[in-house]
Amino acid sequence: MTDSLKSLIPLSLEGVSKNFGNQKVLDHVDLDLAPGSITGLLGRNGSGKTTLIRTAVGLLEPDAGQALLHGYRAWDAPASIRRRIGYVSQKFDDMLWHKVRDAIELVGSFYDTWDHRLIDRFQQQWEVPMDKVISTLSVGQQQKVGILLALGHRPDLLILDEPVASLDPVARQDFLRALLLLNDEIGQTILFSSHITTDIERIAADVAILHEGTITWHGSLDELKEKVQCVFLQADFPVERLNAIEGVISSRVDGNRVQVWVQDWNEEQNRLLGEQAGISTDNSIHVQSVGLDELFMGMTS
Amino acid sequence: MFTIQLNSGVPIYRQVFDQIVREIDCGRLEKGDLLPSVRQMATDLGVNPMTVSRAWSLLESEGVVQRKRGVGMVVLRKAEKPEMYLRPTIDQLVADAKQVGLSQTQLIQLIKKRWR
Repeated sequence: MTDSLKSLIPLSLEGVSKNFGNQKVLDHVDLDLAPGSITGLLGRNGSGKTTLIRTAVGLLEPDAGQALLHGYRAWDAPASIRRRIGYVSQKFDDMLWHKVRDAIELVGSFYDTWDHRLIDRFQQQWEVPMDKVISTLSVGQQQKVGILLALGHRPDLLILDEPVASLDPVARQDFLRALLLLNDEIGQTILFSSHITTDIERIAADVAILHEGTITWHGSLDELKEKVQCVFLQADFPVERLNAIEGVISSRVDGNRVQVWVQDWNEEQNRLLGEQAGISTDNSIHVQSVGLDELFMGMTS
Repeated sequence: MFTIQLNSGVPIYRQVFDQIVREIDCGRLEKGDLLPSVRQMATDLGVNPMTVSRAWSLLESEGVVQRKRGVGMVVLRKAEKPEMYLRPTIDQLVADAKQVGLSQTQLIQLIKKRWR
């Protein structure tokens, strides 16, 4: 890819590795975000989501590979590039003792491009009380303040680390809708991490699955659902045999019930599977599309 | 009324597609009617506009609606293929039947029995 093309990609991770002591947290992570896309970064607790995000915004330096923001290395990107990024960390703990109004004014004063009208509008839409001290607000409201502060300079890349983890289901839906509206209106690229599959399902068109420091899937969520399926069968045999069949991702045994996650599955592979399992009739094998929850389980085990 | 099953194996765009076809099949949407805009639909359902846009494109390529410049998506016809929206139900039925070890003949027998 030429450099000018790279500058069109808001965030690009190329073979990024990061260790903490002996612990390998990110292991050759590759991830490109398309401009204007909403990507859900899905991973179990401790899979490296926060490390990936902190590396992406330039708060951590990769041990190998590089994180690029609009073609510039995130770690020492010039201010002109940093100004195009908005980052909301997992927990909002800045300026807790300020009133919302004062916090917004303070942060806004750092930028000559601060969009007061935009912030006013979202503040009203989200019903964030301006005259309350931040620490007295609910966690959900605090999250919204965090986003307002990250938004006023109109970044074209918004990165949120577990933005809805601490919200109740109603507040969560509310917040996700707000993110959708925002993306629709401003068209900025959004990357948000979560371990809650239904949140990602609702608003993300793309999903990146992070497992043990590696991206095991990145692409459209629809495509994931159409490509990856589950095969259920009843048989007693060593499931390791299945690994030889192309397209088998992983498997789980529950008594004599076997669940196999497969990709791009066809009749021939199904026949091979029956053969390995010692099943003669394909009546007892059935292939099924499953939800993101199940897909996620299969791709992280 | 549209509902979205979040934890389903059916992609959301496909669910939206299926439900529009069903609306046409049962006459709640008629020939010449306008589909809501992508943005409106996405806001109502609380899903990504890309997802709705994909459903609209599929409806268009399947000849269910026609994109009219400056107007929107216009319903072309009363769907002649009710089996289109029965397909997911049938697939599920067949899968379930296989799982409990029914043969094709047995399943057909069962359906005949229930058919009143």
